[in-house]
Amino acid sequence: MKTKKKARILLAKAGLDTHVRGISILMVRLRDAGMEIIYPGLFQTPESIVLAAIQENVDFIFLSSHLAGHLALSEKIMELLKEKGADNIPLVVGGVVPPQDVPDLKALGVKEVFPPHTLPSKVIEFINAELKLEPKV
Amino acid sequence: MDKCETLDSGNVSEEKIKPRNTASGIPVKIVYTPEDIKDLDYTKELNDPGKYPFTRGLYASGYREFAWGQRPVLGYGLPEDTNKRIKYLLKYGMVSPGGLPSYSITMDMPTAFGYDSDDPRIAQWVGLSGPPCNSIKDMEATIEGIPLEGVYAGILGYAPPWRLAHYVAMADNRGVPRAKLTGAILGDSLHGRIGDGVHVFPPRACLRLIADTMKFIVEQVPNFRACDIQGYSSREAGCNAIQEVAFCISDAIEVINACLAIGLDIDAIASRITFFFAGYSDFFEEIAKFRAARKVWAQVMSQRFKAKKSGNLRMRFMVKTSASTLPAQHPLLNIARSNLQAVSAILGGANALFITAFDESYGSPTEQSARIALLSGKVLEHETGIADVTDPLGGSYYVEHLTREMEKAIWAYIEKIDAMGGYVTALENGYLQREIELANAQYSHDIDSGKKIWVGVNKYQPEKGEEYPVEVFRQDPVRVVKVMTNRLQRLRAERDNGRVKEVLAKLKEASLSGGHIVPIMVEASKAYCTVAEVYGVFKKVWGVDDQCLIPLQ
Repeated sequence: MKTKKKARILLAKAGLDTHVRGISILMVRLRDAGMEIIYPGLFQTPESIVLAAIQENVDFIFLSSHLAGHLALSEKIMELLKEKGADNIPLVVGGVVPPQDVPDLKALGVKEVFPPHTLPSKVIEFINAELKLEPKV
Repeated sequence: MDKCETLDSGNVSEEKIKPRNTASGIPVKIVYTPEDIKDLDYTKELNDPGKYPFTRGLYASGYREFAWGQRPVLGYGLPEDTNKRIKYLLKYGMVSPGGLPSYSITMDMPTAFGYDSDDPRIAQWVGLSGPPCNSIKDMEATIEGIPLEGVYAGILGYAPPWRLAHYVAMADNRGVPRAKLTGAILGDSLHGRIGDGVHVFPPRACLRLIADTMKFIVEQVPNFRACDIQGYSSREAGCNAIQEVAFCISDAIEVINACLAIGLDIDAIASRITFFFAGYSDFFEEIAKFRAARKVWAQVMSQRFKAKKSGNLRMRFMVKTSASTLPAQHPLLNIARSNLQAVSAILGGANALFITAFDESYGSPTEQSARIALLSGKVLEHETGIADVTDPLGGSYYVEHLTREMEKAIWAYIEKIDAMGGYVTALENGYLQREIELANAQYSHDIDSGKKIWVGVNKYQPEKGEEYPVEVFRQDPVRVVKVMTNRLQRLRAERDNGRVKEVLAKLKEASLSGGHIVPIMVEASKAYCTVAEVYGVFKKVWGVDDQCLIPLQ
């Protein structure tokens, strides 16, 4: 089984969406689970997110969305990933995402969608399973 | 033998029973007795409602004369969409604490950050979480048909107070005396930045703008409240009840010092500072929080600032029931949660209450969910009798004990921040952000481990197919951008651009020299300047603050 030492996760907030509670919880919880977190701060664009993902060689992009921007942002990020030949980096979306939008996000190629109030342990399980990592004891 | 009998039989001591704490960690016994408050000095620590230190409430008449103010902070889409929602909810009884018809309007994020709606960089965010307010024309459209007099206007402001400038300009244009305007500026660019992240300018520039706004209100719009200290956002960002109150009071102390530094009198400014707290689910702790907050504030105002008039020792606060406690699982259950949070706010003596709609986990409220939220406050007001007696829990062994514990813990935080050099220093060095993130991470651990139960989230989750199909409130930024772009083009073509230039130059001069800014903003409003033009001046002078969330070390 191929195992990597540490998962590298890009946590992203885009545009003028400034709701940071979800992402600040994930930042601490993923770190405590032994992962490396890259957080470029607020006010990112799809371009800056994709650039950071490539430069930092991350395993996942986690987009946190609380201001109705999830569909348009995901579409743009997926498009840019393809354009840069980086569509091996999966995009995961979480936050205020109505269940009705999940199929649309999946159709865009979004790997997974975490609805509001998902337990962080579920996110950690997901990453470990995807990367075939042993959970941190 | 069941569990109760074991304790009563004397075979088990209290220590053996599962220990309990309040949400912010204050240990709680199984029962409280006169022993727990035997040294309580009624006059000194509680006193009757309406008397210092106001622990039991601000007014002797409680809610008998006027019930609490009831209104959501609302807005979405185009200015006229928001206008329609305001009028719809006014029919269902939005009122101020003084019984006037009342509304509170927000603005979209581009406006809050100083962008015009036709800026391609922010097109995606136009009209979400509030209507755009590019110029006075948008303010006029937002409150079209609603009189300026006899209405209590809650105006989301931030620093600088963009909407206030329009409101005053509108009054001038219509010949309504400024002194006849009643209302409040909402939004806090200092403390609010920790939670909702809405901030453009560095903290000390914001402090100056807040003091400048206070001066303008004191001198020009005497029936307005000038500064609303926002605990709600920081609480929603994850801090606990003790931190919420302590950080707010520390923020207010810094604001007052800034106002005194520009020569304002404490007795002129004190009653113009209000507070905006969150209502959470730990029922008695929330009640104790509100009672303790009033008391600590009265002590700060009388002892530290030597405010003289009794009205200036009173902490006025609005409560919004928490949105982040309302999970997406079993959404209708949130009506029960919000209602209980609202009851604790009323028992705690809130001056105004904004009950959150049950569907906030999915987006902005629909007309229906906003109506249900507003009317659930009317049920409490008219059907339950809970507002008939002032501070009905006063004298409860438990509530009085807990109020004292909260008071002690709040003071400890305030003194710590004082020692650090004050609120802005604690913000600049990241102390406040780190405290909030630690509390947040702890809470998340407790939920994840099942130490705390959150119904529907970590226990009793809905089964597949049982999820309630919530109607999602959809917004259309593309439509809003299109309409707003046309309006902006017309505005720039029709206005006197020479005058715009003059006013902006004057604004720059005042910002650089330490002059009085808000009166020039009113002029800018009358000259049809746009938000990007006015903020552009300030951005050049003060720069833009990009520090909002400081990651843990």
